[in-house]
Amino acid sequence: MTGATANSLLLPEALSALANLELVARCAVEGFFHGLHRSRRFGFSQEFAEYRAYVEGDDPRFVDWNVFARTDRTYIKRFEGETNTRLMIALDASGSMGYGSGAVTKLRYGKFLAASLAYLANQQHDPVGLLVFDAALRTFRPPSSRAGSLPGLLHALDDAEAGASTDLETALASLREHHSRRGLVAVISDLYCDPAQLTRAVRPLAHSGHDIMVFQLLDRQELAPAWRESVLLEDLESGESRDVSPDFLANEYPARLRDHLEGVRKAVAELGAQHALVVTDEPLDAALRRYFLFRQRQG
Amino acid sequence: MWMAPAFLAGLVAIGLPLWLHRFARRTDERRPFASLMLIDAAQVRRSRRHELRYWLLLLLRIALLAALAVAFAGPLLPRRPDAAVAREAQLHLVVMDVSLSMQRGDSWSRAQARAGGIIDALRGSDRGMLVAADHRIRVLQEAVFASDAGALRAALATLRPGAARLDYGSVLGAAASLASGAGQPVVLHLITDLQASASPARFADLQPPPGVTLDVVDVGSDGGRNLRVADVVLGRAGELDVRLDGDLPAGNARELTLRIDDVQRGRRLLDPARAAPYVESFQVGDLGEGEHRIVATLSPGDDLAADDAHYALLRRVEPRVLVVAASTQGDDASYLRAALGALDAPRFRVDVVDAQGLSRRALADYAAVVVADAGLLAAPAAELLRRHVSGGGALLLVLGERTLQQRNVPVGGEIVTRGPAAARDARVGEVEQSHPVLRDAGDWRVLRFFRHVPVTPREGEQVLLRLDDGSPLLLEQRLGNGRVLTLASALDRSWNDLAIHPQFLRFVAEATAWLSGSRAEGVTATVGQVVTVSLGGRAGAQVFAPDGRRALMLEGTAGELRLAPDQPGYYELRGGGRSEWIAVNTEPRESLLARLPPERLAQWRALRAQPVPPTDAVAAPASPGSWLPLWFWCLLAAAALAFIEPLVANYHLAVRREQAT
Repeated sequence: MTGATANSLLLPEALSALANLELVARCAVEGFFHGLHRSRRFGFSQEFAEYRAYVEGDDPRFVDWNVFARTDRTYIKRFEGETNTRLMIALDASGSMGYGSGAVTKLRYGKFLAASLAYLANQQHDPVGLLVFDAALRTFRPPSSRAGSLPGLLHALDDAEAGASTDLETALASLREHHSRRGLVAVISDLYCDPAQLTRAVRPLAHSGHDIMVFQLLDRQELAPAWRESVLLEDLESGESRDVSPDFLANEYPARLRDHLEGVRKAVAELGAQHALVVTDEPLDAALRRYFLFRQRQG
Repeated sequence: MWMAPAFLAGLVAIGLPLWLHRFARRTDERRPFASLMLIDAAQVRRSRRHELRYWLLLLLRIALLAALAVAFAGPLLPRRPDAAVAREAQLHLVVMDVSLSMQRGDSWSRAQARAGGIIDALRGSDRGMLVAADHRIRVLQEAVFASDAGALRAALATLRPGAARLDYGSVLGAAASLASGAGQPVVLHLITDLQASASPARFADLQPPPGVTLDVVDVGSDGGRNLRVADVVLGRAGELDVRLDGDLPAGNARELTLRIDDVQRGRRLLDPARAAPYVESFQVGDLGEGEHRIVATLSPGDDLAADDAHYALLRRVEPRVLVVAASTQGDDASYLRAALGALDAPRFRVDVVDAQGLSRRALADYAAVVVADAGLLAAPAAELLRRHVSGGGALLLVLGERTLQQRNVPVGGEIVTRGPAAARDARVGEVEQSHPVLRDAGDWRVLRFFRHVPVTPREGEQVLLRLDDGSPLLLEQRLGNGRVLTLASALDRSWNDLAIHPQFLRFVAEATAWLSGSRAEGVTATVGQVVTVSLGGRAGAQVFAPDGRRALMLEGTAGELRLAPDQPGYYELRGGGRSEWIAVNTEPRESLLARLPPERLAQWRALRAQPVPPTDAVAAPASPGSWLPLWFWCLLAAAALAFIEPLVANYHLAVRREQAT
């Protein structure tokens, strides 16, 4: 399979044709790695790296029973690519995430991304959890690397539907309550909120020692509206509608959006977190590449 | 005021943009969008600007449709909304006398000066119209306002007097139609030399038409002397008589020159002591066969030099006539030969053949063919004659004993009524005396007709003589380009006593001369007189004026042309390989320089215009002439709006489609 063909499989339209989210995740991740030509750091080969003492919460499957038999001590095999990072995926399922001008809505793209991240973490035997939220916490699955946890997580993802308005602060506060151990938190949202609110929501997590990566998903129509005539736009969250002139969409809206994105970027940067703006018509590997770059910097 | 108010119904179309904007402006289709968080603040302001542009576009579209509807309806604006000013405005008809007499002295320059003065005096609300009058009334410049007086002056500067005659009665008659529909009072300025001969036969014809005030402008002068050549006629053997008329100028020696076919044949110094009219005779000898152009000229010119030349035509022809008889020695052949040979003008050369000899003759050489009894003609001979006549030939058919055996008259085609020929003592009952053949033929009613061949005329055939029982006796029909005269009684003593009456010679001479077109005098006319010219079977004939230009022809038929000459001299009719001439002279009455007596002029000026009929008085203000049409400006505005509308629409709406996503 050539790189181009692999990349075409990572296009959101192509992935959306796959009914099974696990299959989507596998295609996305394996296709992504095929395109990367597998590096030592980013691969997830099962080559032995080291032993370490078993601690509570480790998957018993990885206990080296041979060593236990010889030494009566429980050791865990560690493999190349393992980082032992607890990944928590926070997916925004508010009404605005249900928007999509093409075949894939932001929410569906977010599901693909979340599934891919979860699959990747699972392959590295990292515990991975899920939090789906809108104005409130809707689904929570604590991080786990146990066998069978991934399909359950993917099912939970699959069940997520676009809901009401967004309350990022409340959602991430509840995350902090359920997920106290340090780890990596991937927030997937369109971030239609005040940057100050975002700061208030994320700061406690950052202060708790979490590494935070914020994926901001936007549709191409949101970035550059293509309407050349007056259009009556309806807010998917509030239901409010407004007649908008093409002049506004062509001139003033881009400036406002630019300011908003800049505010979000600054807010995230001030917290030491990573911000990635993802457009839903881009191939999924672009988002995964940023994720791995982020992971690389985190060591 | 509207020319076609029905088109105002088109204003209903204004509803279309209103309807379109009402629906197009509202965007009822809701489009989902992730969040309006970034949109709220600017939306209202933008919509107001949007709204304004929509209104601008809507107004443009309404104005465009309204301008179109109004343009087609033809709005009329009163030229002078001030009623008092409108009442004062007048239409000035400047009628220039361009007859021959205006060439005398400095009459024309004075006329132009006076006309220029009238044009200069036009006020802003007045209108002026320039008309030239001689034998016809020509409008040289339609009515224009004083601001366009330059057009009147330009037309006046190029106008020159002609050679035709003016009749004041025709001027005032034409003024009635020119003034009708003017919608304002009319002043008729007649600029003329007040020639007495221009007066109409009835004094009442000089009365101005209703609503017209007459202003007679006299530009003539008294005391003029004019001598003209009145006529040139054949005199005694070898002589031509030139008749002079008018006043010999005292003290000035004048010379009379005679030219024949462009060759000077004589000069004569006139005796001032002699009183006109008198005749000068020139010995010219035998002019020979053919048509001769004779020009008699007086020199030097007098007060009116335009009538100092006279153009005449003289024909000396000996046309050939072919007589077809049963026997070259028979009574009928003898009668016809004797009758034709006895004529002097024209002098015919007569050949007699029997029916069998007809085919051996070249019929084109004969000006006319006379058949003593149509029944002599067998089918081939009849067909030969029919082709000859159709090609422009002339035929005199006499119906006799043998014709009674036929079903139809050969060549002529009339139906012969079956049964014995009418045998009773009949006399002529009806005579068509307006026909050239019968005009001078004397009293036909003294003749006795014992027998005749009863025939039924063909459609379109003219019966020139009828017997007292209504039976056709002399018929004429056109056959192609030629003519056929049919006499329904034989030249035989047992049929009638025509041959022993003087009537016989006149009839044969007139009929043959008319059929052959061989009259002694040529075609003459005066300027302005309509002349009918027979083409004689010549196709594509053209007439050229004396100055070499092709003459304008009036409506005519296939066999003749109608010409209205406008200059003196010889008009040439070319066609069929030969030329014929038409001599055209000036109207004699124009040479009479006597002026209208002062008392007569005073009576004329005292004539008041007839009162305007009440219906006309009411209708006049509503005349289209007092309204200014605005349709052109409305159409121009519509065109401008049609140009601006797409620009505004494109700018405002851009393209009503989304970019490809």
